[in-house]
Amino acid sequence: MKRIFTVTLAAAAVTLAIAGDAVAQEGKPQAEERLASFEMAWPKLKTEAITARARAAAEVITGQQLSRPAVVAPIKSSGASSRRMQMAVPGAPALEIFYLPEYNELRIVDTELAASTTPGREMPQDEALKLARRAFDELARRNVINLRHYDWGSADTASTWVGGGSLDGKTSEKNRIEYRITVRRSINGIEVANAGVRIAIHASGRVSALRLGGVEVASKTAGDVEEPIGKGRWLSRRVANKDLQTRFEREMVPEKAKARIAWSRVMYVMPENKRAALVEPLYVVSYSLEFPSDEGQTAISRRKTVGFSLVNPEAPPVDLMPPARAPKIEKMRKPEEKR
Amino acid sequence: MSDQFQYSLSAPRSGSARIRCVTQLAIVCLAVLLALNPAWGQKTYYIDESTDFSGNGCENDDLNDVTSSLRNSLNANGWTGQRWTNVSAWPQDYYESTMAGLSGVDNLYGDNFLLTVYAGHGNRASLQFGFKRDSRCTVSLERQARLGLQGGNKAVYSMYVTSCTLNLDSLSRNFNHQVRQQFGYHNSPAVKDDQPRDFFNATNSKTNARAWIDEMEDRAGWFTGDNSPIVLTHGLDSSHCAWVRDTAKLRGGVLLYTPPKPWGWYCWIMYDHGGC
Repeated sequence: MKRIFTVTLAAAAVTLAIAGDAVAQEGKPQAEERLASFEMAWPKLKTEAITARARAAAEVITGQQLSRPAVVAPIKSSGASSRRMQMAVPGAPALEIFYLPEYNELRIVDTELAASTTPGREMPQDEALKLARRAFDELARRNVINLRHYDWGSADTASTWVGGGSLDGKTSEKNRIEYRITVRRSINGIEVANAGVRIAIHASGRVSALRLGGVEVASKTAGDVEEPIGKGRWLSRRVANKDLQTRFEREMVPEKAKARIAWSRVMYVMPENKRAALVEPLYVVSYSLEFPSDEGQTAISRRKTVGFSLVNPEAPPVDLMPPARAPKIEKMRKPEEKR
Repeated sequence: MSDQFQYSLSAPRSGSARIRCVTQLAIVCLAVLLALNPAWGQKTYYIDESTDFSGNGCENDDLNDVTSSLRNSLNANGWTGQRWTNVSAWPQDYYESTMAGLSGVDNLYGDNFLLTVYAGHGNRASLQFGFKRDSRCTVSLERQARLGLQGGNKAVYSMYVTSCTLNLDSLSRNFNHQVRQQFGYHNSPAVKDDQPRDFFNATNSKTNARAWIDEMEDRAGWFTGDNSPIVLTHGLDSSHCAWVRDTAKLRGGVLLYTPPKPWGWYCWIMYDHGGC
């Protein structure tokens, strides 16, 4: 009897210790958890660097060695499009290539594959991930990306779907024509919202689109660790995710509303209104709000994203998607209509 | 050039049969166009945008302005139209004017222009406006609106910069309109100020469908895949629907006229990063 009691006591102690540890991990930041702030900037690249990158990326998409570099093609348009650079790669006429200088972002679409919306088969996701990984490695081999900056294990997978049917409902279909695999820039295990690679794998097994680029991070590498340079600093985390989630619900959700959280995680986010900034990781919540509306219906807000400091519990939440400018309201009032 | 005429040119035929067919179609379609197509060749737009949702009877989160730069680009490219905001943007602008009890004025506004745009909040097949008017904040696109039909009868393209309005699970609730294409989201999107403008500009070379999903997949400058943009296209049959989807270009000026009615087929394309 005494032995049974002793064993039971020991088991209870172990269980309590494990549970206590779990609670501690969830509820309190680990003492040794270090974070760093980094200088980040949207770089301004020279045309030669952009066309070289476009050519290398085009080679990954086509799977061919292209003999000539990309050339910049003038865009016949006004306004915002003129702020984009369109390129063509001799030997790959099906590729539509744009560079967005504002975001240091290269976008390439294989227009022939994009137009191929009747897949012969459903590709398993594992197969698409393998093909995307192969393209990812090829981008690294051509120095378009740095493998050390990415954690393939955290890749997101989305899809391109096409579908349709008859109005009478007798016929309908839905087909996946692409996987769209995104892997974001990662610093010591923390993702950067504003830099990454997206690789689209068509149902045919070919790479159908690429999107890559984003902010550049000022850092140096010491072993497996990316260390800040310049104004970047090491920081100690003082607030746990759980507390920040509670704070989000308390401070960001109006009384009548219900929050619909799309995702939440610790992340680096470049301030949208700056070209260069010192950025520290935040606890980021991407969400929409559901409000009651007419006749028992509900209305859902567009997406909002807010960040909370991990090191300063007193810091106000940061609107990570602020308006670019004040709303432009029409000065005239619409005339009352004659009904 | 009419739908049937352009579409028949793209269909495989041979020799004299094709010439005869084309000639007949051209005559018939020209006559029909001149008689019936009020929106033929007119690059017109109507925009309602709500950004102020605080204390006006239709509570929700205040929003950024996503259509003033779109309006500027439309104007710069030879389009003409109207843009109304907040207190001047009314749910009644989209209510079908011929339906009893709604006091709808879509014959003057939402359905009186070739491209019609609403930016604000929403839900499945519905739009939420920022200012209450006649005790109403929302428009049910299923029950209260008939775009491209009845009063007004001029909308050919509709754009909803709102949450969930074209959610795939309730897509059929957006079927009561006779338009070529509807642009929207399967989820709750993050939209930066100039993205609708960038979409319009991209339709100079890209099809509307490709431009919409490409420009709207992420908030510009982000790689978080926050949006699930979707384009719903309507056509006479399966191949006509696919042809419209793969042909129409707003800024490129392709298919800027009233579609043949009634449509019998729908087809859609979407980048899926999650739903509502």
